[in-house]
Amino acid sequence: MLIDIKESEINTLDSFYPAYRELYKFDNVKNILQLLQFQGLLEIAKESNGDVIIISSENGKLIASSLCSVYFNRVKEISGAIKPLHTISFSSLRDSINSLLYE
Amino acid sequence: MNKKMMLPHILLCKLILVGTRKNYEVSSLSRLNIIYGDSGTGKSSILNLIDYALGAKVVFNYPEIQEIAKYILLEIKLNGKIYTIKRDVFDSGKDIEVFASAIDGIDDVFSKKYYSNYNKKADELEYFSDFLLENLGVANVKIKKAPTKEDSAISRLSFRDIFKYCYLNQDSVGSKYILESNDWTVRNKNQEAFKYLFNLLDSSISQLQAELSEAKVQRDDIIRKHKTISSFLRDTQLEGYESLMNVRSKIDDEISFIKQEISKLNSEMISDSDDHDQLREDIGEHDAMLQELISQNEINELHIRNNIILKKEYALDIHKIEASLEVAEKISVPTQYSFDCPLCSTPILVNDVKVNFEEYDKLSLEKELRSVKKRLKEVDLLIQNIKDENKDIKIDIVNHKRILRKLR
Repeated sequence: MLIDIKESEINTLDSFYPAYRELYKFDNVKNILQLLQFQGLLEIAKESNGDVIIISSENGKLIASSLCSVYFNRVKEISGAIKPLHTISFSSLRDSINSLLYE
Repeated sequence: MNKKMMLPHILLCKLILVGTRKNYEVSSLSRLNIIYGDSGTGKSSILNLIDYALGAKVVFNYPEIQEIAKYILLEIKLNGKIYTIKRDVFDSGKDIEVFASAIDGIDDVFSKKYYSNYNKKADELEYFSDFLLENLGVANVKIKKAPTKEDSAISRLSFRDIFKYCYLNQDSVGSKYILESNDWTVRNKNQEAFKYLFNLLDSSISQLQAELSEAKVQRDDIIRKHKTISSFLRDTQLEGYESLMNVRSKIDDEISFIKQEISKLNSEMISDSDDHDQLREDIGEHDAMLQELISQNEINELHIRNNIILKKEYALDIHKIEASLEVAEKISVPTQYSFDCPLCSTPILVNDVKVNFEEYDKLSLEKELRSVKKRLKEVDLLIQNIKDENKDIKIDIVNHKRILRKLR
C-alpha cells in the first residue's frame, strides 16, 4: 500500500536533515527494547537453532492499537506502508536507504 | 674754352707690344701722327692693337704677333689722367689690368682688374667699359634697343658704342654696311648712341622711358592675367562683382542669423541639460529605491519560507508532545523491574535502563505543549505580517516601475 507525503511533511527540518544516524545506534535500539520489555509490551522467544525473536505481546498490541493521536496514526500508516521492506535483507535495505540519503 | 675742357677726351700716349724676345714700342702718340709704309709692315696692326687695348672683342691674329707677342700695354690719358692698360693678346676674355700710372711706372703701383666684356656678372670685378666711361665723365646711360616701341627692352650705353664713332675699321669704311648697319638691333643702338653724342638724348627722358617701358610691361602682364581670370570667370559662369557682393551680403545676413540661432540653441541646450540632469537624478533615485524594494521583497520571501518551515516544525512538535502525553497517560507504570537477558541470562534492572532516557511528567509536557502552540500562533502572525508587508512592497515596486517607465 502506497501513501502520499503530506504537505506538512515537505520542506521540514526532518526532511532537510533526517536523523538517519539514530537507525544505526544499536545501543539505543537495545535500550528501547529493554524499556518496552519492562512495560510488558514485548515477548522474547528463543528458537531451537539459538536465534532470539522479539515480538509484541498481546498487551503491547492492545496498547499500540489504542494509541490514536495524530502522530501515532501517521506512524501506523507509515509502518503499514513500509511493511514490505521486511522481505528485503538488511544490507540491501541499508544500501537503498543510503542511496536515497546521499542522492 | 672751359666747356671744351669739360668734354670727355682720350689721349693716346704710348703703345708697347710685349713680346717673348723683345718689345715693339710706338711712342709719341700724343701728337698728330701719320703712319705710312709698305703693305704688310704693320700699320693696321698698330690701330688694331689700340682698338683691342680699348676693349675690342678680337685682335686680328697677324702671324708675326702670334709668334712673338705676349700682351700689350697702352698708356692713355682719360680726361687728362694717365693710365696704363694691360691686356692679353691671345685670350680676349681674360681680365684687363689697369695701372694708374705711365708705362714706366707700372712696377711701382698695383693694378686693378676689370672684366673685358659684359658676359660675366659683375660681382667681384667691375667692367672695363664702365671704368673708361667713368673716367671720361660719361654718365651711366640706358638706351632703348627699339626706340619706337613703347615697351622696348633697355640696354646700357657702353664705351664701345661711343668709340665706334672714333675708330672705323678700314675694311668697313667703304662698305655699305658701315657700323654694322645691316644688323637691325645694332643700327637702332647706334642711332641712340649718336643722339647721345650730340646731346640729343635726354638721359632723364631716357630714364623715364625706361620706367615707362617697365610699367608697360607690367601693365601688359596685368592685362594678360586679367584676361585669363576673366575668361576663367566667364567659363565658370560666375556673376559680376556687384551681384557677387549682393550674394555675399545675403550670405553674411544668413551667417549672423545662424549664429543667433546657434547661441539660442546653446542657451536652450544648457537648460535642457539641467532638466536632463534632474531627470537622470530622479531616475537614479527611483532605480535605487526599486532595487532596495526588490531586495527587501526577496529577503521577506526568504523569511516567510523559513517561518513556514518553523511553523511546520512547531506543528510536528505539537503532534509529538500530544503523542507523548498519550503515551504517558496509557503507559504509566512498568509491569516488571527486572528480566534476564535472553542471550546471556544476565539480569537487567529497570533503573539501569531508565538512566538512558529523560522522563517528563504530564504537567511539564502540557506546559511545553501550550508554549509551542503559542509560538506557532506567533509564527503565524509573523508570517502574515511579512506577507502584508510584501504586498505593500510589491505595490511600491509596480509604482516605481511605472514611474521609471514614464521618466525614461
